[in-house]
Amino acid sequence: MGSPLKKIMLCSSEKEIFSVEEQVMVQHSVIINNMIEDGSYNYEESKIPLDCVDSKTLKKVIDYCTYHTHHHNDNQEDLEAWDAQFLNVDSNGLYDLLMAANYLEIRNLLDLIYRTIKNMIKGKKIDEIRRILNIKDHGFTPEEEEQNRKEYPHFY
Amino acid sequence: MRGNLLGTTDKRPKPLSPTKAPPILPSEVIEEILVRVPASTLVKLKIVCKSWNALISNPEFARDHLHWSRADPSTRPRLIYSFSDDRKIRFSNPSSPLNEDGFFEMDVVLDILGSCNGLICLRWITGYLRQSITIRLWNPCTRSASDWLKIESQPGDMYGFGYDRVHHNYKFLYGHKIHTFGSNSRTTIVQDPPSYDPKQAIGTFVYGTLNWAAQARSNSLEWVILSFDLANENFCPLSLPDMDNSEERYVPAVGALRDRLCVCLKEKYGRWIFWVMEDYGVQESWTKFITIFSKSHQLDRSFYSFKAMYMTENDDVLAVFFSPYHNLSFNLVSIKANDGRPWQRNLYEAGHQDCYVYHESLVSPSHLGLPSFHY
Repeated sequence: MGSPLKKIMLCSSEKEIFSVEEQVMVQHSVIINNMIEDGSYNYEESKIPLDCVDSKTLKKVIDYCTYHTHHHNDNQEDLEAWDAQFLNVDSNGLYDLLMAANYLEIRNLLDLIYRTIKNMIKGKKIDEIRRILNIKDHGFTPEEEEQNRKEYPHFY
Repeated sequence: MRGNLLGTTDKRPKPLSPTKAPPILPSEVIEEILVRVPASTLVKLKIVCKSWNALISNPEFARDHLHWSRADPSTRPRLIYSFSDDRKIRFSNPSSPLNEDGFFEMDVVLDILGSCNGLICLRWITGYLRQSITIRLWNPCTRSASDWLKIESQPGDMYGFGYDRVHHNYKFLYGHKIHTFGSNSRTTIVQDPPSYDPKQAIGTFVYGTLNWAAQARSNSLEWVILSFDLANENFCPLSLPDMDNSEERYVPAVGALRDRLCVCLKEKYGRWIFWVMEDYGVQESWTKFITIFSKSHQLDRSFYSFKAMYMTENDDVLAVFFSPYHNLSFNLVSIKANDGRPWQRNLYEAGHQDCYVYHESLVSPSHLGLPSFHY
């Protein structure tokens, strides 16, 4: 666990530098925790390059980690409300966050995003799910698709 | 609250075109999402696209999904039960166990011999004089069942159905034989239960084992829990909790609460007490859990047993109140954790039946290598 005062530098795909409290990232990102633990991060010189994370997304990721580091004792309801507000983004924004959380291995953020997408399709008809998740090619033959639609008309 | 960001500049987000299509999610992400969806919903999502259909039918995914749903505190199991005189398999919600919330009308009269990981072991009731029983595995969620399996059995045999967590097999014990379900299904003879006679027909599945209340052949006042390990296929007696003033002639009832063994004992002329074994097989881990006090249960039913079935989030216990000597009365009872007071309603007053906790899953007989049928 890093000292609370130490800062580390993260570099977005636009080469923008973000300075973050070390413990904030160490607590949430498996990748950064490993880098700090194995000594591969040099506090004087290193900037962790995140070539696949743009500045807007990285800023959100840091917001998430910072909030959850300082508010982990809040009651569950308040945290859930904050999370819901935090993920109130369009589907592309959500996807960018998902990819960043995946890259940095931020497990609680990943789980939150998976659950959010799960809730987006909850109770939806088949056609709506295909639209929400942009499934253009369902892969069924026209006969199979017709058969499914005939058999389960109320699902579509 | 904002993070302490020294390096931020006021970069405006790129404007999104209103027609921009949602991103296409990689298959690993789809898998992570679907593993969090209840099994009963997933079976309806097979027609979204071919790759979802393949994933939802995949045995490995079914195992992952089971693991997730068992670990998810928001998963609510249901109760499954059948009556001896009709062809319905019924379901209800443990928080209002008497309100049936679904049923299947079957082609024949069936009863249930076990429920484990979403698979139900059904028995086809064929007649009174039987030297054999006919069973099949059935997943009510995917509606798939194995073929009927006829096995030789004596009246009075002990039964039990469960999962061998070491070899990842489902097994059915009957008398002194055990049947392993799978593409190489086999039946083997197990060693004799060591000088104890089980007093419950159907064993309770807990933690890779089946468990019965059993009486020593040499001493009718000596009771143990007879445990059968599904992995090494051995019987082993477990001692009951030490209780000074226990009623020796009382038949203990073996149940399960949150994957822990639970036994109900009775004080002499007194109250019933639920004990749970916190660590399976560790005698010292027996812990007194709830003391049940109820005058109405004591009057003419002092030898009745409470078999623990299910614990709610606020630790109330759902139990079956039954007579170990005859099958004519069967009550579901909910016992308040704070004061041990039961409220009780008659579920049914005739015939043989049993009630099980059912965790829905995608595990299907075909995943075990068995031919499977829509049922």
